[in-house]
Amino acid sequence: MKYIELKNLKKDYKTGNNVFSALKDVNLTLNKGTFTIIKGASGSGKSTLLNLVSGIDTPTSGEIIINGTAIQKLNGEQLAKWRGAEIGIVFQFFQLMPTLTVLENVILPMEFVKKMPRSQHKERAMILLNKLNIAALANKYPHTLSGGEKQRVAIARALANEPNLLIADEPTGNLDSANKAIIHETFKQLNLDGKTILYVTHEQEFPDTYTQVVNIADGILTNIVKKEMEVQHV
Amino acid sequence: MFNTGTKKVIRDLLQEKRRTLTVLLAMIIGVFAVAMMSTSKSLLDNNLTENFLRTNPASFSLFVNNTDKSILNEIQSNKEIEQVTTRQSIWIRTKKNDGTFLPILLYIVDDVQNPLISTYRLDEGAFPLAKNEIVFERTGKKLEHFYVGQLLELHFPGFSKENYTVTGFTHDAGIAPSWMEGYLYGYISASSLPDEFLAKFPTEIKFTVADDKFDLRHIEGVAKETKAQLEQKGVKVINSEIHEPGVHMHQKQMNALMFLILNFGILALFLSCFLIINMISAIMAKEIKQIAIMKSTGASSFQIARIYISTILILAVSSILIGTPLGIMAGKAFATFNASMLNFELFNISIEPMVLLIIVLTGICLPVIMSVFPILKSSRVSVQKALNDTGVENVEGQNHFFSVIGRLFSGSFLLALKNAFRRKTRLALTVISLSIGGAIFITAFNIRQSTNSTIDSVFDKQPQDILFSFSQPCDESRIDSVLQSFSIEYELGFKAEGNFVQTNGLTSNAFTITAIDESSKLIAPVITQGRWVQGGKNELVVNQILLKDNASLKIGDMVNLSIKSKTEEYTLVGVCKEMFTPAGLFMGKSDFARHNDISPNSGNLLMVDALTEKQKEIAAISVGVEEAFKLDHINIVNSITKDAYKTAVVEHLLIIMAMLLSMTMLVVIVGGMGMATSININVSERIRELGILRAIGILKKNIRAMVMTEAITMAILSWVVAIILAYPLSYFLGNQFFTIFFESSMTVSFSSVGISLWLVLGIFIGVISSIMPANRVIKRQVVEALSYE
Repeated sequence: MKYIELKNLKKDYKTGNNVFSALKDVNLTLNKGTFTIIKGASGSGKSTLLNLVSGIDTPTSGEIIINGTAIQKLNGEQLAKWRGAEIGIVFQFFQLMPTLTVLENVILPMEFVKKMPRSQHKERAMILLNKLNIAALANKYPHTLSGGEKQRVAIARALANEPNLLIADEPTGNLDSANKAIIHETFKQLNLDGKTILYVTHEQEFPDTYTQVVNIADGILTNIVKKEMEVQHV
Repeated sequence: MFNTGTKKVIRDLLQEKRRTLTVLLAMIIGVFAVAMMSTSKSLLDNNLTENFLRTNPASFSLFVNNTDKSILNEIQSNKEIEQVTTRQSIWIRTKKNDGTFLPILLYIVDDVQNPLISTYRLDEGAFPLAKNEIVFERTGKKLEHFYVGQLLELHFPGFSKENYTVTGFTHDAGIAPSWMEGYLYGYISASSLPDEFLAKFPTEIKFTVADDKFDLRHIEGVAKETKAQLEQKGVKVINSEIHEPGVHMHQKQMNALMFLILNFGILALFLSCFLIINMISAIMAKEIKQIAIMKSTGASSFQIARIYISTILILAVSSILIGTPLGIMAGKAFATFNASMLNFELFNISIEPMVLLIIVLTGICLPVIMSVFPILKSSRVSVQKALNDTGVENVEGQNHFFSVIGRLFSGSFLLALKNAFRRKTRLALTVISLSIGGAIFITAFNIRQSTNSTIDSVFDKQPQDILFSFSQPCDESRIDSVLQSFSIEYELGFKAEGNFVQTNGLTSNAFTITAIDESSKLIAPVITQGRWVQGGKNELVVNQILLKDNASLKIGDMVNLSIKSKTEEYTLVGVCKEMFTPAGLFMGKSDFARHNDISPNSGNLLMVDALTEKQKEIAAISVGVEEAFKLDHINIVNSITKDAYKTAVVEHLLIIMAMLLSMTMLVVIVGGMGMATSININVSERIRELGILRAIGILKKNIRAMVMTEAITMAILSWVVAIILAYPLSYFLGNQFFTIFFESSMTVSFSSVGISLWLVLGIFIGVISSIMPANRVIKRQVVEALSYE
């Protein structure tokens, strides 16, 4: 079942009189429930691709259809609503609210999106924290946590509004090996639970339960490697 | 209890204590200024009228040569009249310790202890019960050291002098303070002086009307009716005076003060608003990443804006809670000070609900309105742009400017300049905030200096140094013989009171008539309309104040001028501009003499040019001339030197000067704080960038110098803008203030002291306020600064 469709996607950046093409005519289709790794070197265009899919950035041309919604047609406010309902984003640098506790960081998106009654927010947040094995940290502030713990809080926050799609931008880029393993395990589990995952990395190590690895270089998708299948050239 | 957004707001405020306190302080100052200004304005407005009305002021006065109690009783039975009382006013004098004389306006009242109209109350001591006892108005104590039980030698017109005991002091809220006018007010009972002496002076019959006390037309009608009644009974009414109902004689001063309070209050508020915009913009710039994260989790721009507006609301409410009581306290103190200057008391110091409403509305609405734009701008920022904000910004579009500067200055100085110009909006906001502060500061100094220089120029243009008034016109030949031993120049003229006789039979309020030689060298009024008088043609020149009081008058009009009950027709030929004088007119000396059947070779006003600029010599000449006249039995009722008169004018302006001084102090605090905050925020915003500079080898002292250069650049830039802004501001405020106060325009001059002081203050504050954040940056480890977000 098609979940994400990228059609002839282009993204150009202007710097002075120069135009830099970050993405060049990208076409990609991802099914629901898949775990896609987008892999590429620094400056390859992987983060640009992720920003376009998450509606953080707008394409120069082309279409992005996610779950039937052409998101390039949405305005800023519609995008914010759509993001709240459809996706959860995990950043490399965690980006937690420093003056909110772990529990409050997870509750905050629920209050913005209002998908569920306020009375259920705490319960839902605790379920997520339990699932990620950080319930004991619920009342702690971000600055007291380790990197791995912070990233798990960020994942819990991304899951707060039960999104269909989880987007992770170098989620282990700032972690040591032990914490990397924990985060990999977390993503594995989330995919097994049915979440569609788009996982951007430049590292060689990533969760081994992926569906496919999309390689990107100089704004072009070079190939798609499906797990235990042959390389598909694009 | 609170939702998570609110918790974030409260915790952010508590976390960023320095930032919170700075914004809070800016808001408190705004609230403080509004509370202080509105409280003092409300208290002064209400209490001045209240004080005046408590004196039971007369609705109108009729001046007669003799009174008969039975006639007055008959008039009092008129249902339109509520109260009637009589009073005589005589100018007497007392000798001061230095040999000069102090004038006393002596009120001889029916019952000194219980005046019916124009009342006063006993402030100290006791009312005079026996003969040769007197009470003075309490403000006279500021002129000379007077005390209860003191024995004073009083000089009455006609050479009689008697010793009087001061039994006490009164408070008379209906008159101008003695220290301001330069003379004392004394009160004695009519029974204290012989009838034959009192018969020489006109009697003022004071009336209050029974109904419609504030209706001028009604009062005029009753006055006309009463005058006719008196004249029917054979009492000749010399002139009449109708007082503007409920208006204190110092209302003009109060209006001028209120005008300045209001305008400076608005400017202070404006300054506070810019400080708030400046700080909120800086805060929003720092919050940009958190905003992006919240948006990435589904928050709409509106939800984000709501969070930050809540922050502003919390700060606004806190600033109201702190600033209101402080502002009200300061407002009460300011009103009390002004009230004591104008000799009235604050009976009612309760704060009107309207004042509280103004404080709360401005305290809440202004910060919210001022912060809406920066908050909306930041909450609408694209998530990608915000996430990519590294804290190190590119500078575009200034290459040409900086390439020129670069040829002139060294690298670190150029970098400091570039930093100052880096964020144009921030720079503009900072410079505007500081410029407004500077403009207010310089304007306050300019008005102060312009006032002083206007007073100086007016007095410098008057050649006469001393004025002597005689009780009777004196022949020129006699004056010549007395003054032959003095190296002075002098002219003889006439001074009297007069009125215009109006078509309704009443007279206008009394004004001063100065009759001088048409070619006088010692008095030369500035003609603004028409021309100067020609002798023997019954011509008049009125001053602008008299023209304002008789607005229908125009050049060429024929007017009926009454002097000592005798009326003649005159032509108005000109209008002159006089300052620091009451309503008055000029006429030829020969016309005055003919009008009053006296010799044109005489006069009761002696104008003296002492031919020296030294005040000590002028004072000595004044005493010498006085003694010489005394020896020749010429009775002087009053003498005043130009310097003493100038002092009285300056004293009238003390209250305004005090207000301007307090304004400049407030601006120094607000402006200084604004600059400190702006620089603090500017540096805090660039900690990461400064970390990079240190990482590439820039020394700590260079960083410190760079931050200071940036601060000084901003100070100098805002100083230049402040001077430009102060120019129209000084003209507008100065002229409005002078027009309200003196019915005349001001010669606006620029205060080099104010301009230089603001530059010094700006640089000083800039340096001080940049040292702190610079040191903060320097103390950080390079790695810490680089990872700072």
